[in-house]
Amino acid sequence: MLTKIIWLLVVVLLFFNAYIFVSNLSLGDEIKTFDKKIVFIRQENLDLETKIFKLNSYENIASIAAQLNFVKKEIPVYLEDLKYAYKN
Amino acid sequence: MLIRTKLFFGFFLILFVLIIFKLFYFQILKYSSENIINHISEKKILPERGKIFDINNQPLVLNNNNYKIYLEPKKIKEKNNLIKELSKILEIDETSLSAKIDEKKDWLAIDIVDKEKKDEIENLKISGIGFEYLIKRDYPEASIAAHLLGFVGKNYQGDDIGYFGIEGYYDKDLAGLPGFLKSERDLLGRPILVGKQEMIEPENGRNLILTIDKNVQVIVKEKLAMGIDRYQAESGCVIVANPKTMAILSLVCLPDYDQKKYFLFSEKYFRNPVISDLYEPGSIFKPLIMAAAINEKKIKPDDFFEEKGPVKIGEYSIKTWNDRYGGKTSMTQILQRSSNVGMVYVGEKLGKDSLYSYLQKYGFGQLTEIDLQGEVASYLKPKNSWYPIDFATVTFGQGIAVTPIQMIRAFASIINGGYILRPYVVAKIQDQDGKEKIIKPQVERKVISEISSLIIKKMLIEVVEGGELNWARPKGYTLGGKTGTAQIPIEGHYDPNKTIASFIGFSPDSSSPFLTLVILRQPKTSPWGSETAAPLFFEIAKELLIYYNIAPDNL
Repeated sequence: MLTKIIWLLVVVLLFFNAYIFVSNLSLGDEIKTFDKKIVFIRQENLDLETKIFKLNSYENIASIAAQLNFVKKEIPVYLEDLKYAYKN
Repeated sequence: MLIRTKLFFGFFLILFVLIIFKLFYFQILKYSSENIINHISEKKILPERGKIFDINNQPLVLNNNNYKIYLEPKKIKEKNNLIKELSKILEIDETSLSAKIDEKKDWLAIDIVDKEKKDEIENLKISGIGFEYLIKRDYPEASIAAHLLGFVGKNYQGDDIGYFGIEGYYDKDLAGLPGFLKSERDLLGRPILVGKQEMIEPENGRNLILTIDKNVQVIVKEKLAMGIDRYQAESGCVIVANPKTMAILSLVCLPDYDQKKYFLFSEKYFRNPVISDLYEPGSIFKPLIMAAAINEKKIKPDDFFEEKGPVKIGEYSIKTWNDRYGGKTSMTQILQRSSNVGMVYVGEKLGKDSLYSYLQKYGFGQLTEIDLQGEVASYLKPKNSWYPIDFATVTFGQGIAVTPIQMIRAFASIINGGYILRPYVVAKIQDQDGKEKIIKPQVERKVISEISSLIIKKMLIEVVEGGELNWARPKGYTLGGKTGTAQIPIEGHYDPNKTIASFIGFSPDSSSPFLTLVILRQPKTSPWGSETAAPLFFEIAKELLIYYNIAPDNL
């Protein structure tokens, strides 16, 4: 009886050991994946933060203004003969 | 039973033999020192460097992902295609890139690029190109405050280190503390959970919130660039400070440099002239001596003296700037007309001992201890080595060398009630948990009384209102100030054609006071401060009055 119990224990321990080994492997895999994801998210965060702040920067506003031709007109045009202004 | 036991042991024996063979394969047949090193992974975890924001929490310095592109020449298959495509994306000349590729080398760095360019290059799928991840400083507002912020470079060990300005002064706060990871890994790099796993988390650098206002900085930089161009000056600086606290609101010097490409500039561009360059201040120094004499009750604003002609000090003759002499002149008129002869009279009234003691009290010859790297202190020679001519010329700001930051600090004391304060640019230091350390204004000593300060303030307002500068003053606003034109000493004499034109002015508004020092080095259109630095000050002041929403008080 005792021998049978010992055998049973050995088999259970063997399977338990195998189970721990396999779950260790999968946990290790998960840790590695999460490590990578953390690094990726951190980089993504940095990227997004930079993009958001750049959108609000004077540099960006000035470059958009230049693209849209929103520039100061140095010489104003004065209407000497106002009748043209009243037309239509 | 015996057979079963034997079978069981036989099974384990085969397993052990298999394990031994596998170990023999990895450790003997396929031995690689890298495998052993990789077994225990030891990694320094770099902290993120602290960011820098302006007073309204708008970012001035951030961190961004960057990638070092490297080539492995031995793995390159299509060299011509690689050169063609890379030169297009990196905007490098094909010939230079081709010359860089030494096929004998295993590895060579090419450039540092952002994520977009990295993705573009990766999509080409050309062999022999690799990337190394880096975090680099990013400047959303480009070089809006290059001299003030400084830059991040490398030390001898190849680690990041801050140089100049805030990056240099607060390097330890900004850098943070690196973390450490020691972990046993299997061949595929997975952590072995029953093995050693040690980790010390890094402590990110502290964020800095400055006293600088980005909007004021933009206004000032734009106007200074325009002023340098209009007056054909060699260089220029503008400092805007709150005279009650000596918090620096803006600090711009031009020409400046691109912090991202600092390595393309020579070292002379990195020096911040506001804290590192000495100059003779000229007439903007006069109010300091006048305030001292008023404080000592040696003169009153409505006292008169007779301005007859040049004044003789030993073998030297001191004249007014235009060699004209106005006769009966009040103390306020001395400042309005910027009379050197009048100032010699004020200096004599004050007395040599007192004059020297006030120079010390104003902080000349000492560091202001502003929180920027690279400050120098002027040298104030001992009193016993001063000649009578030195006591005379110092009253109108010649024969004494000061830094612009010393000058603005001393001037602030005569309009803020008499207090010498430590100038500062960082308002708050914030750690990664959000805890804040607030930097408060620091009074160092009192130089003149409240009453003397009020008197000199009123005199300086009259200088602007009653003097030759009235035309430039924004209508309806009360502003005070003083012009200065200092000659530049070269090889023991003054060059009459080379001057430093300056203006120091202030808005006495109690809710949003500002004190501004404008310095133009060697303007060519006119050597005079009144014709160059002063109009530039009023242009800046007009914008600042609108920005701070200060209503006209003098309509």
